[in-house]
Amino acid sequence: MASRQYGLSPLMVFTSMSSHWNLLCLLTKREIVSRYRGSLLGVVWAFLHPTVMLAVYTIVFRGAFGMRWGRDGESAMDFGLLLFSGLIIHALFAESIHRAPYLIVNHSNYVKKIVFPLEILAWTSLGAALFHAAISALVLIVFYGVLHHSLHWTMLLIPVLLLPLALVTIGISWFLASAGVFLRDLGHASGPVTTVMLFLSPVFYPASAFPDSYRVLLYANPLTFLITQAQDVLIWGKAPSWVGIGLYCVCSYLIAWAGLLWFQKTRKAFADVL
Amino acid sequence: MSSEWAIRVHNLSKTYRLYARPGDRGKQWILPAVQKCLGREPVQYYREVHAVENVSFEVKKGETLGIIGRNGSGKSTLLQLIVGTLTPTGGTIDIDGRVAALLELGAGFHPEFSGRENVFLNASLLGLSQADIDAQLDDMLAFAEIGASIDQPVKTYSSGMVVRLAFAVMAHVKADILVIDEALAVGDAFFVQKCMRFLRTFMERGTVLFVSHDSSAILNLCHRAIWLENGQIQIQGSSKTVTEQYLASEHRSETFCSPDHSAQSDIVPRPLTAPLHDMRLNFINQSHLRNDIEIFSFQGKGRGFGSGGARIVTAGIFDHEAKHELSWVIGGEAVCVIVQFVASVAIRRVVVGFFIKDRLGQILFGDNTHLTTNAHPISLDVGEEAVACFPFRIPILPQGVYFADVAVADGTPSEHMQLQWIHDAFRLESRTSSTSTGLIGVPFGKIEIRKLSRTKEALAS
Repeated sequence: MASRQYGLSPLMVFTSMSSHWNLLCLLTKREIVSRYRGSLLGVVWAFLHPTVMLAVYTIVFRGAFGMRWGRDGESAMDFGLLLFSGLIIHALFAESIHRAPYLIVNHSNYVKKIVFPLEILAWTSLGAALFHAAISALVLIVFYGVLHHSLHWTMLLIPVLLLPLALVTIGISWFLASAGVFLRDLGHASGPVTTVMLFLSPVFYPASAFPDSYRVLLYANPLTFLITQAQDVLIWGKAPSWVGIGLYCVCSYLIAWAGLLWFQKTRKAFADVL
Repeated sequence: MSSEWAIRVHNLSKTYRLYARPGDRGKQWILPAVQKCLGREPVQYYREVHAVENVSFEVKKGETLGIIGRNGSGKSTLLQLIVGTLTPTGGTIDIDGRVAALLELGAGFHPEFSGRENVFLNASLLGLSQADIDAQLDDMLAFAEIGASIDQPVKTYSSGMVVRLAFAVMAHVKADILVIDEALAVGDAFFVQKCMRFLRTFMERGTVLFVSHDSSAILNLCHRAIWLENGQIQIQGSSKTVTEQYLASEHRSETFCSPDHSAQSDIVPRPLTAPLHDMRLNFINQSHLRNDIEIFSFQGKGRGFGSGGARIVTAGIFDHEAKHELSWVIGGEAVCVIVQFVASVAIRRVVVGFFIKDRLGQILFGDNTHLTTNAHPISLDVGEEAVACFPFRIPILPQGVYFADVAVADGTPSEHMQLQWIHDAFRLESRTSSTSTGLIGVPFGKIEIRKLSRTKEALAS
């Protein structure tokens, strides 16, 4: 064995996950379970939380604010589901990004005391977020089925949207996890930034409702495309834009690789700083 | 890849950059490059600290290497570099085999996870597959002696339990190289013995890197040693040579006054010599298992250290009345160790001591005069002579060569200056021995087996 070298090949994005698969599964499971440990309802909360949020969005935005998407025959419940489909995408991204700057800082034992494959921490946090996104999607599909007595076949395509989202999220997570070690301010900045991204995306309103002069801001948001696609497959029953998704996958893979490169290049300095 | 070497370290360096303010780190990233572009001398925003500097050594497969040094000498940094938690600034480390580190036991444990989950987590980090772990799990749990708590979160464990569990994992990962820090002796005495047994068994086949500031532990366990001082290798060699030098320097750095050498030449030593007496004569008709120990004459010109404030004229083993110097003794007899010396400077509180060590330098026994003279310290003027006498019953020594260190100091055991310390002042050689196990033998009374009549009756009925 030669001196420690960290892989930099483009395939590393996947091998970082597969080479420590057992460890990753264990840590992700613990990540999810530990969140509900000690509570009376346990994992039921994972279902309750999105259900309650779905009800609140429907009542507040439709009932109190009287907001509409602007389609014919749109019920109050439809509006809530529409909102919720966008939120699933945003929440998956935001949950990982919020935690990313603290990933390494909070696990300084794994840096200084033992030899740990630090790159899997980002996968762990993404895995937990994916679990919650999957439950939210399930809740949404169930509500849709109850409401309309029918389902779209396109709903099965939701994992196809989650793949590029996961790649872009893990890329940014790796970057933030490493940068957060050197620049502690990032932990404070990630909250406001994800909030801005929520309001600069077509979650609460259709893209067409955004003023033309500012619309470029909306499309600059990497979440905008995926949110509209999620609304298409989950609510409108439209097939996604395959070309768009293909391009998005390529770009997001490049982002993931770049994030990992940055992470691997900088990780040698972690122990010196923490 | 298999080679003769388990660890090869070449010109290893670790330099830390210390920044006064967090902002300086950012400046260091950007500004020197900008300043270079502008053709100016780049400003350095940090202070460099060399934790390890140009360290090179090699450890053969199956060898045990000790690293000794004071706190802050770079021992731990060196280990962390070898284990891989730190990245070297310069130089290379080549490691052949799987490394298990007993550095901070349990540091990799997740407090919220159960003991069992942590075993899985730690073992898979060390490169064990799921099947390997399953196969070893029972052994690990039995070794750790955690019992039913194994499914409880580790945060509920006592520190001893955490250490036992961590050690159990390390002991079962089939490592080729073991890296051990001195903080090993934790847990109860029984567990420490278990760990030492494991370590001794491991040392028969595996490579061990052992770090300590305790020279006797190094002597006891290691073939070779390295003395690290301020991140650099001071000397490396056999553990006996290295620890002796280390010990000498430790005493030197405690020196609080410089001696006056001028008075030394005026004194003509007058050794307490007397006809040699062979004690075996008194026992000539006894058993062939007798422990004959030959005592060689005093070697004052040997290696040693000290300020020179005293000169040891002679040292040796005398009969119990301190009248005759002995050339032979028999293990178990009453004898007396004599140390005669001359003061070259005025000594306020003289303390004389000796110890006998075995071939490996491990100290077997010894004593000093501190307790006897504590209440009424003896002071000496320049040129005054004195003799210290330690009467005791010499233990039975297994066959082999032994050495005695003798020393004269000024002060108390906690705060003193070594005036003269002579390594290997005289040699003892045990020719035959009645003891088969243990470091030394003590004389026993009559050993016998008696049948208890009650047992016989019980069997009959």
